Amino acid sequence: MVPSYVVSEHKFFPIHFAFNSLDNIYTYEKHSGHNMQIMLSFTLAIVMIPVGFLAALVGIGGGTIIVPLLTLFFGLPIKEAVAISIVTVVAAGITGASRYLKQKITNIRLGLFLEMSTTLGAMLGAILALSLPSFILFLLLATVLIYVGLNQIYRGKKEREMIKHRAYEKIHEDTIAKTLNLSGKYWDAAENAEIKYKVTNTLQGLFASITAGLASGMLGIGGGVLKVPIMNEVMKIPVKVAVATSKFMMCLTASAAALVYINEGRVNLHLASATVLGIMMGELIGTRVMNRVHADKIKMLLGLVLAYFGYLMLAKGVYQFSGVKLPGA
Amino acid sequence: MNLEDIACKGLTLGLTISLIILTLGFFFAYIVHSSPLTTILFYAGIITLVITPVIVITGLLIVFIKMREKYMALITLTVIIIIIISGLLKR
Repeated sequence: MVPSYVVSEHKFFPIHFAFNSLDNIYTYEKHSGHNMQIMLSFTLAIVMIPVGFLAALVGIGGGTIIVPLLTLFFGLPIKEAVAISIVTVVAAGITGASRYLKQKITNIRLGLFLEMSTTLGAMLGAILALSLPSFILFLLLATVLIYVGLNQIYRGKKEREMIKHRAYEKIHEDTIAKTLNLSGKYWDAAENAEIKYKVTNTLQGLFASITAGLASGMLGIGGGVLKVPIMNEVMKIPVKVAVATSKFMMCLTASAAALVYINEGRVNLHLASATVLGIMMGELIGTRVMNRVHADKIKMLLGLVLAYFGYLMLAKGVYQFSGVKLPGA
Repeated sequence: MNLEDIACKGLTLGLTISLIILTLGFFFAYIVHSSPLTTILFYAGIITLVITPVIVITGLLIVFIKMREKYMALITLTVIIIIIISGLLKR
């Protein structure tokens, strides 16, 4: 919990978050109290460590957690929170991706292949969002997330059995996967074994990734929550590889958006730097832990995160449709 | 050197440089309290971080071309183009 004086002092100071130039940032630094800045930045960095840890374990960017944290606990305007969140997601993506690449869990070829449809879906989603009422989108995504989340929890044990019995190795590799050399292997530290896997249902995975992109474009979420189950359930890729590959894809997508935000001067560099450092630390710890945790535990955790996001989306949809506020939303 | 090594080295280098610059930024902000320099350092750190994936994916495209993997090179090029277009659309 953030100390109350941080929030209250934060509201008293004339902080202008819409920075368009270096001069504006300098003005902000002159007007805001030095001690308050130290406390705010330090608190932000500390709060971001567990977020980074969770994001590293389940392959998400963390934007859906960061934005509510910055707006509800730190009193930042939503637009500034989103801008900081985008930069933080890039930091989370790069830190996670570099660690997982070092551990040789990430499948770069698969990541690039799926990134085509995800980014395309995100573009379509942004256009569709303008023509559809947003409560329908929230309710649709809530249904999908809760279903997939519960499914992940239910199938957690099956994942470990598949790894133990080397079932991922015996899956029939399709033509596209063969041509692009998408199949691979990784060292599972928890099982103390090298796990080989073959990629299947490549086209289905490519089309399903469009939905992850659509959700991302329509609702402003990262899409990592959907990419991991798509790779795992549709393309039959071990959940750890899916988590690592999702991280790699995330840093590519988010960096393009972050560049636009920075170029337009919407990012509060001071606060963004603090959140970036915090999330990096959390990611470094999370990436060390992930490969040592059994796959069923990761799947359970992912299921819980998905169900939580599903509930948040449901609450937003219900609120926009009827004005009724669900508890905890 | 394989693809994973190249991408890993690129991302780690970008991450390390940005981490050093940001830490220096905080040093100047909270110990020396020099605002213009702090701002420049924060800006440089964040920009280094954000352009790192763009440089890495361009590097991967060059590797695919060198390895004569035409399908993967085409896919990587498509990703770069779509990311640029989506960035321009967001703007």
